Amino acid sequence: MQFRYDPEHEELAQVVRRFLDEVSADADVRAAMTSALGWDPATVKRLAVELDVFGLAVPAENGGAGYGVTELGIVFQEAGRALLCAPLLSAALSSALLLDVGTGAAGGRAAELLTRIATGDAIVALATRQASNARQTGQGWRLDGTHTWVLDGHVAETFVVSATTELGPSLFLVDADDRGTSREQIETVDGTRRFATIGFADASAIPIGDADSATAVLERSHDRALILLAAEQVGIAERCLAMATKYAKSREQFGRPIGQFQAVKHKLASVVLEVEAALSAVMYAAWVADHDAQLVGEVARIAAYQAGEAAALAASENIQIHGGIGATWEHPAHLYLRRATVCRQLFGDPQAHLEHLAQLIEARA
Amino acid sequence: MAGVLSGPYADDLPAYRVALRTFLSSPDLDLWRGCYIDDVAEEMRFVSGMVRVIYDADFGKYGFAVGAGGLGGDVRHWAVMYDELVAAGLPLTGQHSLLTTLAQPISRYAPELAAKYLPAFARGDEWWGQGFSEPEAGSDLASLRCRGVLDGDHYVVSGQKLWTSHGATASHTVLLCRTGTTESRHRGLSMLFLDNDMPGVEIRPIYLASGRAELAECFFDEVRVPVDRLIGEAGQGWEVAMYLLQFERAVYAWQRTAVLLERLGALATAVPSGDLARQQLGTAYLDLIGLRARSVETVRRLAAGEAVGPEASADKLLLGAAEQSVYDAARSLLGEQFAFSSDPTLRRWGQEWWFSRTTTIYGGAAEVQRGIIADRVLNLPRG
Repeated sequence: MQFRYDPEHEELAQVVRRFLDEVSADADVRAAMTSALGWDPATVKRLAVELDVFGLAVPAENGGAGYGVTELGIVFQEAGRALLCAPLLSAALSSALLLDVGTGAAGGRAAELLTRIATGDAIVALATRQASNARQTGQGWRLDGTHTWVLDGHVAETFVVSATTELGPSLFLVDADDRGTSREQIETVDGTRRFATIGFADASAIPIGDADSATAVLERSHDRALILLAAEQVGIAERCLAMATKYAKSREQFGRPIGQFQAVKHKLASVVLEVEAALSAVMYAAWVADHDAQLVGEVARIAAYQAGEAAALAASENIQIHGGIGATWEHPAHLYLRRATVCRQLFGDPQAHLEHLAQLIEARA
Repeated sequence: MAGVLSGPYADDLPAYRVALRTFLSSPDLDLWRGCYIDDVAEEMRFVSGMVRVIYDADFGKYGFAVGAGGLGGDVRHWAVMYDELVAAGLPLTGQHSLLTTLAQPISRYAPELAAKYLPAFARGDEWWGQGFSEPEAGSDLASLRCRGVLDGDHYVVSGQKLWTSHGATASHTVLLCRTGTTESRHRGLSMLFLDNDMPGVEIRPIYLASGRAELAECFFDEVRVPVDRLIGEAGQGWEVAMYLLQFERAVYAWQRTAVLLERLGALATAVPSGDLARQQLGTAYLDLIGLRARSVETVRRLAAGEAVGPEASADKLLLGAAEQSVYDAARSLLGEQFAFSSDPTLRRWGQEWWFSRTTTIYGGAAEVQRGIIADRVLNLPRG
């Protein structure tokens, strides 16, 4: 492998960037943040139709473009750069999970959902952070439990739910309009993503996948989530670095651009190091995900840690270099730090990644 | 104010602390215990009631000159007040920080204005903004452009100020403006005392990244300010500003350590114990105690009337580091709760965390403070 993108990857990035420059400018992001839905439906439709971003990694036979994690990562990098408000991550994760359990699952329901996720017509949310309790009744499976911070859970039509059965962990599909299902949107630090608390009380559920594979399916889903979010955080970091660099060249104090001061130069140079390390780690992780499933758990965490640090540093230093204006609501700098803050927590924080890596090293020793 | 004498605690800090502690434990102050209000203007209004109760009971008059409605004493009385307010679970907010920076300069450089206006400020009836920074003059304060042109017995003030703490609800502005030429840099500045209801003054709140409107931008369009509103002499503005900054850099630091120690304690009880928690809480505690150990000496020097020079930049840097150390520990240890919860207690941590981002920016950015230490304390060759 090589630690640089191929020309066709560069082209993909350019196409997505040009599109997002048009539909995800500061005013668009702020409008989406204050909307009830959390994104502009017309923009989401265009993302699906013109760029096919929801079906990018879905195989052609299921209505997608059949690309890999590398290409999807490039889209996420651009989405981070543009603070895109869209149900992109839930689509990428739910479609991959449904493919993993097999499109024949739930009597073909998985295939049907997959096709509609790929076209942006269905939102399927993962309620897999916690497990519900599942029991088999005369009328089929029933679930009870509460799931917090379910991404895009506020409008999802179906949930993929992790639940504990007598046989161990299993996965289920639950309809959002089942009368045993309740949901409440919650406010987080980051207004560019939406989350809900989902409750199941005697909710009807359809099992998907084999009972003994659920844990492995969830691990693969988690690894993929870490890599895609890491790519997104690289995009956040790159954009913050670019903003800070531009400002350091134009803002004058003491009769010269502040970028002439060594304190500012070194600060920006340190951000470059973090961003480069993160980008390399993300490219490596995406390549491994596309080629060698064995190593994914490890490299996904390396990428997640590096990108989490890079995004947090770049977003913080962007505020510091902008000074007072960078600390205002009106300036976009805080929106990047907000998004980075939630990205860093969504699938395990940096400390959890380090802990996981330490355990891997110990196991090898 | 002839005939008014110093109060009984002016020269007896230990007795002041004991009496104040007893007073602050009174049920009369229960209304304000544990209060935290999202809306900054509402918080200022609410807390001013507490400031008034303490002032009317004479405890709030120490640290203010006898001729300006005070009972004598010095800034050490304020330090005791900050510690005791926090210990009593009472708020230490905008009023206190504004008084910390503005009260001493006006008493020293404009005793007549202080006699007339300072009592209402100290009593919480009103508060004043500090109009220093401008869009093109942040850390480089000496490049400021807001002009005061002498016209008979008035200065005609035109220009803009930015980042004025609590400016949108303030009754007056202590304004640093240029009465000389731009080339004169810091020698051509004067300090004026404006009424914010003078014609030509317009003030708008600025919302910070935290979502709270703590600051303001002020526009002055040919505001006529009588020359007897000068704080210090014409052209003495820089000296007054530097005198003021000693209090902002030193006494305000003590004030924040009082609050931060309490917040660190609250954090320690809110998060589960563990190696990471112990390390982060311990580091933040060290940062705070290190700052306090330095600050106690700086406050003593100011109380003794000594000028605290460029070395106060160290206090300022230590404060920024301690603020971010405490709130970064909160962000890290509250983790998912910090990122995802909208519970009011956690929202407060979030808002305070956002504010802590500004502590390495306001009052001269951390990079500039390090430059001051390098150039003026270590006397390194200048670039």
